[in-house]
Amino acid sequence: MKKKVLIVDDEPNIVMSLEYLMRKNEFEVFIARNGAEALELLSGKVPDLILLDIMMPDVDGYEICLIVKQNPRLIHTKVVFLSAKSKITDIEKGYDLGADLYITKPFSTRALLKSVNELLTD
Amino acid sequence: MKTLSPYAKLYKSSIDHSEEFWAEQANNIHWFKQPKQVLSKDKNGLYRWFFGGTLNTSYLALDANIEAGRGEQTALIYDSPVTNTKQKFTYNQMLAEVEKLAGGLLKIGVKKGDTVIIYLPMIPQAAFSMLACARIGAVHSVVFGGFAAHELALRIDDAKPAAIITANYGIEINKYIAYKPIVDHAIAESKFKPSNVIVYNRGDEVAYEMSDRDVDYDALLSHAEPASYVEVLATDPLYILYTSGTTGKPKGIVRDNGGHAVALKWSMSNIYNCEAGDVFWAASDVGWVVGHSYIVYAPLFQGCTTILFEGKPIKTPDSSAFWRVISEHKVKVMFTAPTAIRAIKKEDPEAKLKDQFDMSSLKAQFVAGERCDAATLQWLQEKLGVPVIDHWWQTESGWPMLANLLGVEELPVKPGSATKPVPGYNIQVLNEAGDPCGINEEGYIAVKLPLPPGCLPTLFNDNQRFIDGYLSRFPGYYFTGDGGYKDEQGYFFITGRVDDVINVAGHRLSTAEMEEIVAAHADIAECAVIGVHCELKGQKPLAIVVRKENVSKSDEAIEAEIIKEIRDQIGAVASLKNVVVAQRLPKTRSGKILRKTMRFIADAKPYTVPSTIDDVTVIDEITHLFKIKNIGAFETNAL
Repeated sequence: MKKKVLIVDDEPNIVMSLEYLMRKNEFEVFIARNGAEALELLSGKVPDLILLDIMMPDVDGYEICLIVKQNPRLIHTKVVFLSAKSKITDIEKGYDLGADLYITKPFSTRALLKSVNELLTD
Repeated sequence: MKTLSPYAKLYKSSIDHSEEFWAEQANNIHWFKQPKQVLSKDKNGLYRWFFGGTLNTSYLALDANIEAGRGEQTALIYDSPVTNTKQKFTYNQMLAEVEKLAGGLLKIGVKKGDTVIIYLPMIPQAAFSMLACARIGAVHSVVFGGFAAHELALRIDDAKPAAIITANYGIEINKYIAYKPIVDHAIAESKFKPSNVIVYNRGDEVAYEMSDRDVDYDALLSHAEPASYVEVLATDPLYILYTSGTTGKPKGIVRDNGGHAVALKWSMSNIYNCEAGDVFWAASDVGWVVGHSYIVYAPLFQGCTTILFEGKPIKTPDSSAFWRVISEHKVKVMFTAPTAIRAIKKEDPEAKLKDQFDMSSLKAQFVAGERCDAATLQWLQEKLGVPVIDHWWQTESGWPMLANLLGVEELPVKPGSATKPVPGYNIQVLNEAGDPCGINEEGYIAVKLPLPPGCLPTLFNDNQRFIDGYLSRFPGYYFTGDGGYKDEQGYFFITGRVDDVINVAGHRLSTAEMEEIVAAHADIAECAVIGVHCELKGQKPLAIVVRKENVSKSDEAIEAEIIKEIRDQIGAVASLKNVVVAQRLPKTRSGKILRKTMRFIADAKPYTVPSTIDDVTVIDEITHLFKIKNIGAFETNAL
């Protein structure tokens, strides 16, 4: 069965690229273009992995991560932050909230895929 | 009364009745709205062709061919020895690619009139990108893939593109060149920050990084709706192509839609003698004007099959590459630069590798980009057994200015001459005062205004620079920057940029003429002759020569023979006393030898290495050579 990935990002170019990349690599893809959309999707779906931007206009990625990690229904969902916020404090905050991985933008698509696959085979 | 030859008759009519002539040629393309005026002047007083007419360049290149029943004909052959790939696209397939990409551009917000920079290697997506821009009325600016980040940044700041289209890498013979980091560095350096970078992923061989402004090319296409063509005005810009100027800021040559389509279509029939269904190959790069005009636009306007070759004349895998492509794809007419031929000649002096190929499809070989010396022309003619046509034009003109019109009347070839003015170009040789020179008298090559359709109407965002740089030297004329003369039969001989003419003891001498003689030496692969400052005579000539492979003769013997040959053929006035043997010559990517740069090195004058240089390390080699040979300003240092 295909693994499910939820992409949460408000930048249309990167969403298009990630969606294409993940579909090409046999993932089932869901898209949320802001925090509220993400939370709505998560109320019904249980993705295997979330690719999560941080800076979004409504609910930010940190908040979503916290909600996911506190929800027993989503206990097996891996959270990967994908953000241009690259300060150590930003990254530490991400891990403190329970993120499984924090990748900074710009990112290598090849490295991203490798990391995602490793996380999902753990 | 003497009857005019077909060429002379056509030429005369193009000059005497220029508007009627071009109005008739304009009937050969499809207009959505007919032009209101054939020739007019804009608010800046600059000439414009076909004002009021509407058309679409992408429609003419693709849809019109499909409507004419050529949908299943091959439009483009991608032949890439560096990736071992051969791929054919029919007109139908090419339209599908272009429509999708055009839709993708619209999706990311590119609008009619916006500029788009294309920074791609020689892959089909480069042609698709150009045509996709044209389809939606965006103005493309292809930047040659060999340009470094700084040069790209200058162009970004001038063009202010809504998007850049690039790939993760290009290939230089057997080396990967990562393109995406070059774009990232250029954007980091430029003041203007484009909102979108479309990245074509050629494969995982070269990893690259994505950020929020980046979008994957295939991802974009998968989300896009095919876009139809829009009507643009004939006078709307189709593209900007930057060329080096005399200052650091590159000059953006503007090409319009209407004049370009009319002129290029006319050139395919009348100059290159190619019709729909023929295979035409310009072995250039889409980053140069030859690539724009004769890899992409003109062959497609004409319904031909064009070839996009991602390789080199030698080393991909050997010096038979050109012969293999001609034979395999049944090329009827080929176009390349003399420097490519000299490279082949150096590796395979007898062209023995050609013998394994059936080259019967080839009917003519055109050369341009630099003056073709007689030795190279004759060698090629002898080896190919078809007419070898040297023709001359510029990035500014966009299509040939001097040529032998094979589709009208094949004139006898005179080695060293690019033959006669192409209809539409009233080419004159003028002296310092702007008066016409006599027969065989060398002067400045200028074109009486108006320039024909297809030529630059102005420079991008810089009318004044256009007027100052091209129209002011000789009022009423466009100044080409080249020197030359016309013989008694009306053949033109371009002797090079005007600063290549040297003055030795008050005598004006053509370094080009000396080069002809040096190049004819049996042991010489290629050469340059430049004028070096001389306290006594003003200037004195210096020949820099590259030996052919496997020549056992000593450098000294070759030098002595060349000096004697020049003296024998031109006379002692030529004063050629210095010949140096170099491993190679500094050149631009298009093959132009950088004579001026070498002159400045020899004269120890401050110089800027042109951004178009092929390999910058040659500059150090030449400087070192001049030092050890005590040339020019280095002469005193040796004491």
